[in-house]
Amino acid sequence: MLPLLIFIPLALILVAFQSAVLNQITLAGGHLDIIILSLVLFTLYGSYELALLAAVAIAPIMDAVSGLPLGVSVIPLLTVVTLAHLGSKTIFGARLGWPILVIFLGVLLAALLTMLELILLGWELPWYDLLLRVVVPSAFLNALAALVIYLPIVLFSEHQETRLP
Amino acid sequence: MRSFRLRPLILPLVIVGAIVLMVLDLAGWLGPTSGLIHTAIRPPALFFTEARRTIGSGIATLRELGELREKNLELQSRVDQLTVENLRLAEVEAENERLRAFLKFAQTNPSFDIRGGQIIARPIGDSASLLTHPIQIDLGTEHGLEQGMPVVTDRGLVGRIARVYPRASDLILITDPRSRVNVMTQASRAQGVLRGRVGQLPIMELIPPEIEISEGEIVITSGLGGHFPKGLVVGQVVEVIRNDNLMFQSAVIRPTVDFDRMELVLVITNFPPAE
Repeated sequence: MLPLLIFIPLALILVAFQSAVLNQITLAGGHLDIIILSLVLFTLYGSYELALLAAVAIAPIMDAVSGLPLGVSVIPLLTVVTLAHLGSKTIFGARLGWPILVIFLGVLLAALLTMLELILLGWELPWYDLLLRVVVPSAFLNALAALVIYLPIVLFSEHQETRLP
Repeated sequence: MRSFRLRPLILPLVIVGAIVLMVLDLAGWLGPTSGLIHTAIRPPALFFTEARRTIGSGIATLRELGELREKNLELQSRVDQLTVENLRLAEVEAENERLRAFLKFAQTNPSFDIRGGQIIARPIGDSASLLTHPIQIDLGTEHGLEQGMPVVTDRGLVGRIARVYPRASDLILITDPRSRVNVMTQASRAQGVLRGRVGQLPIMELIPPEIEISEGEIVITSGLGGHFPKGLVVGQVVEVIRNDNLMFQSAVIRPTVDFDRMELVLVITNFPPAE
């Protein structure tokens, strides 16, 4: 219960920042997705279980602000967190390439799953245009952001490891 | 924190919970919950919006000052004062102009019962999702708003109300891919349907091929279908797409409303939209 009490205000702040600031800035047609970036970061360098809980707290808030049916983002965000977690257990997990790849795949996967759910719920979506003009540019943009964010973290952790006896 | 452990059944339960949540929301049982979330997110959203605006305006001001410094350093302090004063006055004047324009709209359209609302979602932001772009206004059911009501500015049609909460509403812009508006060209009277597109200007489709339409023509609502009143300005034809192999022609429309700079909107509350 305690983590949820912490995550809900954090989720409100994160979603507000995403909608008020990041979704106002379009770079090459894409948007930075601080929600997926944070969840992946939390999964890789924090706790998988808590990241799942954070995803469950964020998703309905994100849905309400985005005019989506409540609950639509739960499965996509849980999938991204699980993907990041499972990948980190493989040989790719410890490398810098993994966070970048998982962000790229995560943005794509989350959007595809959300679109699939919405289509199943009867929404008419221009899925091809959305994919081509918004989702793919966003995936590249976030992968680039992942490089900028994770590089110092990886360098710092490697530095710490070399200092250990 | 570390004592929290995932039990094997939690993940499937959460997924089932999400599906139940979606179904309940679609059945309209979660309206108060959405309203609560909108209320809760408003303070941080307004904070971030203000911060973004302040930083943006700070950067713009600095840029202006940099140019002035190059031209005349000794007048710098005077220019600073005038810039700040000018910005304030320009803001007041712009607001005055907007309100005057709205008043003119109300006077020229006396049959519409209009209710002014300050856009809060443009400041609050777009959407948190990549896939949708609803905009929120600070009026809701408590102010007499209903789903489907048309929303305009003095420059033309903005869209319609998609969802209503007690103190806020979501708007669907005419540029949204989910939006369909029955429109016609003002001069040639060609009828068609305006459809929003992702990352592109909206397109007017299903225009009969025999009608000659030209670039620059004004497009207005046709009133067909009963979703919007007739005669609201929508935009201007920027490109006509004709193809002999197709049954209809289409036209790319540039909306007259600048959605990025929209600060005030009017909701037409006495127009009963068709279901």
